[in-house]
Amino acid sequence: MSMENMDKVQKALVDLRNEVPSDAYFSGVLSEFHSRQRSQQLVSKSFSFRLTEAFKDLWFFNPARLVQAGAFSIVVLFFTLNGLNQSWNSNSTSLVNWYRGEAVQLSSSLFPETYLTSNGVNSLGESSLARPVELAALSLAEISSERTQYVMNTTPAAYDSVVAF
Amino acid sequence: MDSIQSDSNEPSDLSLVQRAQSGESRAFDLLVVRYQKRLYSVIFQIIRHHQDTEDVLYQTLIKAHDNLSGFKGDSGFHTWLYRIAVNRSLNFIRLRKSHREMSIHANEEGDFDIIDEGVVNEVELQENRSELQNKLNVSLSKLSEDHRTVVNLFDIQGLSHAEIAKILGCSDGTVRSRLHYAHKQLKNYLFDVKKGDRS
Repeated sequence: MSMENMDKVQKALVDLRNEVPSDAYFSGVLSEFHSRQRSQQLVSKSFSFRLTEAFKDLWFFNPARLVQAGAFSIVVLFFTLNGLNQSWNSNSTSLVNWYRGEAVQLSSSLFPETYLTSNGVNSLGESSLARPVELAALSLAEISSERTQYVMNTTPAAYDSVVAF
Repeated sequence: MDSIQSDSNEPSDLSLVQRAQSGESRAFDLLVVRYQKRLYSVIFQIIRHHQDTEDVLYQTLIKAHDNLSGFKGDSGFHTWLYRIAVNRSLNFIRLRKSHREMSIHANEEGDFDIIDEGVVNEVELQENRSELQNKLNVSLSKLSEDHRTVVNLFDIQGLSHAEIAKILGCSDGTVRSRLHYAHKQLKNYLFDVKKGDRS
C-alpha cells in the first residue's frame, strides 16, 4: 500500500471523529442529563423510602427499643465471652500441665543428672551403661504419678460409676 | 495537556472542576457542554450503535458527576472523563456480547429470535459514508477490543500515548505496541478488502 493511500487512511480515521449526531441533538443533552440524574436520584430515594416503610412497623424499629435490645445484647455477649474465657484458661492450664508432665518424663528418662555421651561414658568420666535402665525405671514411676495427678486434677476420664454395673 | 479549550477566555477544566466540587452545579454543566461531542465520539467508536451510545454517554456523565469529589487533578480532567467513558463502553460491549451468546444459545433451543440492532444500525450508517470509510469500518471491526480502542483514542480522537496509557491503565510501551500491531493489522485488512474488490 503506497504512502498516498496511507495518508488517505489516516485522514479517513480522523474523519471518523465527526461521526456524531447534529448540533440539534447535542442542544438537548444537558436537559436529558439532568432528567436522568433526577430519575436516578428518585429511584435511590424510593428504595430507601421502601426500606424504611418495610421496617417501620417492626418492633425493633423504635429507637428506644433498639437501645434496650442493644444493651441486653451487650450484657449477654459479655457473660458469654467471660464464660468462654474462663473455660479457655482452664483448658490451657491443663495443656500446660500435660506438657510439663511430658517434659519431666523426657528429661528424667533420657537426660539424667549426668548425661551419657555416645561411647557410654558420662559427663563425669564414669562408665555408666547400666544407669539409664535404672533411671528409666525410676522415671516410669514418676511418669505414672505425673499422669495420675493430671487425670485426677482435671475432668474425670469417665462418668461411669460402679452403680452402672 | 491539562485541559482542552477552544477559547482562551473560557475557564479552564480545573477551575470548572473546583467550582463543581464546591457545589456549583452550573460549572459541571459547562463541562458537560464542553465534552459531550467528544465523549459521544469516543463511546460511539467502541459501541457502534447510536441508542446504546446515548445510554452509555449519560451513564458516564452521571458517574463523573457522582465521583467528582474523587478527582484529585493528578491527570487532566478529560483523561479522567475518557477513562470512565472507555471503561463503561467496554463493559457495555462485553455485556452485550455475553447477552448475544446467551440469545444465540436460547435461539438454538428455539426459545426466541435474535434481533441484532447493532448490525442493522451499522448498515444504515454505511449509506452515508464514503467508500474508504466503509472499508475502514469493516477493517476496524475485525480488530480486537483492545486494539480498536487504542486506534480510536490515538488516530481518531488524537490523544497522546501517555494520555491513552492513563486512560487504559497500562504502560506507555503497551500502548505503542498495541498501536503498532493494530496499524499492521489494519493495513492487512484494508489490503485484503482492496484485493477482494479487484477480483
